Amino acid sequence: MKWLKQLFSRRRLYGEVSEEIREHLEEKIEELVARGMSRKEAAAAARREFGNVTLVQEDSRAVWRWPSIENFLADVRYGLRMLRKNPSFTAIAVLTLTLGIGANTAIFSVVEAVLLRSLPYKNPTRLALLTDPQDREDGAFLYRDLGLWRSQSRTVEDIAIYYRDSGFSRVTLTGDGEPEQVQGAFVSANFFPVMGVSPQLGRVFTPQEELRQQRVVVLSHGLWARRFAASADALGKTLEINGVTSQIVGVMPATFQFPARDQQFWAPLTTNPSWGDPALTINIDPNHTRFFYERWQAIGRLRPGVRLEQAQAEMSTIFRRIDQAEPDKNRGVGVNLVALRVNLGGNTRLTLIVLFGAVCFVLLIACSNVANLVLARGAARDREMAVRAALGAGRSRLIRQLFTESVLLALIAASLGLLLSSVGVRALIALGPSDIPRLEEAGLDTGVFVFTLGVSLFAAMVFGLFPAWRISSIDPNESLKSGSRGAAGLVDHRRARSLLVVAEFALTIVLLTGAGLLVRSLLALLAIDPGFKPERVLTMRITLPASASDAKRIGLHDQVLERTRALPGVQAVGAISDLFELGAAGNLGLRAIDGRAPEPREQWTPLIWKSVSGDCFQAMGTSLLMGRYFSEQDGPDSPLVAIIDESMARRYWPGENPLGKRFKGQDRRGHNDEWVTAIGVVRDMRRSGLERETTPHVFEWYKQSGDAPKDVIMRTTGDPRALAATLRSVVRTLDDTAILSPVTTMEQQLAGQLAPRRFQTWLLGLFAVIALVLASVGIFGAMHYSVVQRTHEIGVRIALGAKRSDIMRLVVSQGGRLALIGIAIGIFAALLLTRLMASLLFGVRTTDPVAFVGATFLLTLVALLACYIPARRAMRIDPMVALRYE
Amino acid sequence: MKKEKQRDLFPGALEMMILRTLKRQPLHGYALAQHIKRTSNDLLQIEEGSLYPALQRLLKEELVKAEWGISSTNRRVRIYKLTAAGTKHLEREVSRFETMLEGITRVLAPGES
Repeated sequence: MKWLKQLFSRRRLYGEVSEEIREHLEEKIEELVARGMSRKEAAAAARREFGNVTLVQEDSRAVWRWPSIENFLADVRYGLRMLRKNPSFTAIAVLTLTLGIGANTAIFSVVEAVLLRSLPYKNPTRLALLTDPQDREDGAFLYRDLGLWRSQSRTVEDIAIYYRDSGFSRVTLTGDGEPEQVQGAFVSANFFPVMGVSPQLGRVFTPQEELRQQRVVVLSHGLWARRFAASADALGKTLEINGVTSQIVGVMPATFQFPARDQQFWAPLTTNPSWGDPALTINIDPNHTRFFYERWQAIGRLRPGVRLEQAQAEMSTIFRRIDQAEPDKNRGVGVNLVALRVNLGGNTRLTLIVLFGAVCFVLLIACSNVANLVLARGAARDREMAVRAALGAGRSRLIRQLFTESVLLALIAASLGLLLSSVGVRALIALGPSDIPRLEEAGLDTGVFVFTLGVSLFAAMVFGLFPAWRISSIDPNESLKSGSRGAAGLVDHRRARSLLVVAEFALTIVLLTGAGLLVRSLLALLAIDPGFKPERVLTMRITLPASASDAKRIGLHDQVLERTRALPGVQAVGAISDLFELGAAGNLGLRAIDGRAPEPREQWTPLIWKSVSGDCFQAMGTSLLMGRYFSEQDGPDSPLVAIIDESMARRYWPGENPLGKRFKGQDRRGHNDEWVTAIGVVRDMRRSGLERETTPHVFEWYKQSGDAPKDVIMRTTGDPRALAATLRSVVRTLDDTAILSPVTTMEQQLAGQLAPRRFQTWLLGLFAVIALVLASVGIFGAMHYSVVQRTHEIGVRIALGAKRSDIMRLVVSQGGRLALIGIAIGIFAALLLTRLMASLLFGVRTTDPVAFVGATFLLTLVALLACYIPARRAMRIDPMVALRYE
Repeated sequence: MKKEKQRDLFPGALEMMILRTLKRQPLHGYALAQHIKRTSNDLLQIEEGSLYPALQRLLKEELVKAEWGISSTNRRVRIYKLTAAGTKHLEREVSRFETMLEGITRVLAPGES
């Protein structure tokens, strides 16, 4: 700690040296005086013999210093003074950088939370999903094989199974308060140990409870906070799931969100309403289909030190062994191991990467703007630099000093940027779509701080080093000779500044075209005709407890339709078994088609069967293209009929009249061998999301299929929301055991489907606009500065007879040329880069001319506007004033 | 500008002389300067001031220590004393210097004769 003591006692030390020197001189003078000199002569002689007092003092002090640090501190002090002295420069530079760094930090904290941070499970790298090799979303293996897998594997420690996202895990919470539709998971008891997570409160369920089908449930943190006010009393209370009460035994921490982000509870898989349902777990005809619900999603924990490939090899061996011993068509073709960390849904990863790329571009543009400012100011500081160089400051010393100023600027901006990003991250979490897992974990943590620090230093290097290098390269002789304006350095500066403007425009056009492509995709999506009319439609799902009989279901359903049809303001009422079906539909074929050979399995394509009732098609607002609607004459005993959609007609009877055509479905209801006759064709409805291709549909009449469709659809004449309460109360008065989902409008549901796309489009659009503003400020600054520098020249031109319009053209063409070069380079880059975002686009190609031309036009326009103001200034230059300007 | 003006001495020579002088007796800066000048018969051109940075260097390396005291002429002065480390350092430096000197002398000798 010696150095520390020295550091603090320095001031005293310096004083002592001065005093000592003073005493030394005094002693000398006295001695000389004693030898007969006059006091004045003695003082002069003493000083002569002593040497340069100040220098000696300096040197004595320097002994105690660390020159590099003290120089640095001096640079910092000087830099701060320079920043204070140029408040407008500082403000603009800091503001620009704050935007760049803030946006960067905000997106990075999302990227970090979602893509980079390791999963909040114990040794997450040892976790792997076991999936179907052909469909990653599908489950991996039959429940009855599970025991074999677990006992035979040497590489996998344990395997847990669960249901995810299928209709079975989307349930309605009833009981106190409004009913609520939530996503739950039905999991095996070893699920929690496999994941390596412990509950925040209470316990998880045991294998015994799973075996005994005990109705126990573990709540998510969110559900616990929402329905139980985060109170410890929740343990021992009950949760009503689809009308069945379950005992709450534990609460998981907020970070645990597996298998899905909107996970609300975990219950033993044996308590799922469909568990043991013979219709679901016993396959009727192994030759025809494999029902996905027989196959389970699974996650395994590898033993320590086992690599994924080793485990994969063993899994494949076990699969072959099991399949040979007891063949089963439903088993599929194998099991794939997928590391848990890479399993991020949909386009999330690409979206985040594109957004992160965009903010990096914004930051680069901000940097080049600031570099431009620094260069402009550097020109004004030519003289200062020249004087410093003349006095012996080395070039590296000058660069270091200028760079210190840049770093200061970047650090100030970084701290403001952190503030900005904390607001930004909160906004992202609030507005972000629910399909981004772990989004709400995004925040400012150590990693983000380090990143921001790194980014700001990087920024300082980008905008600071280049100008510092340029400015310091000034030849002091030239600069001092050429008078106050330092013209020698300026020529080079102008070229450097032009380069920066070109770079900014290149970056901006890339962002603009990217945003343009997304906007075009969104518009294309909004322009898509869903095949139905979502306006003025109210929907609600009615479910009855599992114990209710089919007769009761149909009875309630009929009464609900009858009562609501009579309500004033109701145009049409119907019901369908599922209003929307997001996600891919399974491949399915027809068992038989009249007059044709059976369809081999290889030719199967997605096919959806739905039960409908009432005036379902009228309520949806889809139109009947041929034939007739269902009628009351179509009863359980009359011949089976179906309405098909256009896709179905095209798929099986292209160019033919499908009416009257007969076919047999893969039906588990027992009337497999009856022919179903097509009686009508309706328009295609995009029930699986607007972005998906239409899927062939077969609509059955509920009286013939025996299903009571759950989703009531009500088309109203006025504002549908006015009828929401009425709809609920109608059902309530009919049956108080019915579980009612919240009433929503069809438009709300569609908007929810579009949320992720809107989110990415808005964000990229926002960044593109920021880039546009920065680039226009950049070119404005450059042109303005250039005009100021050329005042004299322009004055001469005017004096020599140049017209004002010539001057205007001179300035605008100079700026325009830079913008166009930048745009040309940028378009080239955009052609390469937008290819990467192809899978984010919908309905437009990556080379969409509208997006490219639009972006070019917009940016050129903005560039010309930004040049116009300085050009006008140039036009108004008074030659008399300009020539006197020297 | 910070560079010390080069005296007609090799680096470390001044420090060595200071240490040698202080080995005899503790002295304050002025007395030290006078002593070195006197004993060298003014052969060495030493600015008195250059003593002080050298003394600070020695202080920093803890080869000498300083105490405020009163001189024979009744002045408040800072008296420098050799430390144990300083004694050792001096011995080492002197022997290195003698080796060097011997070497230089040998090289110079034939040319002189």
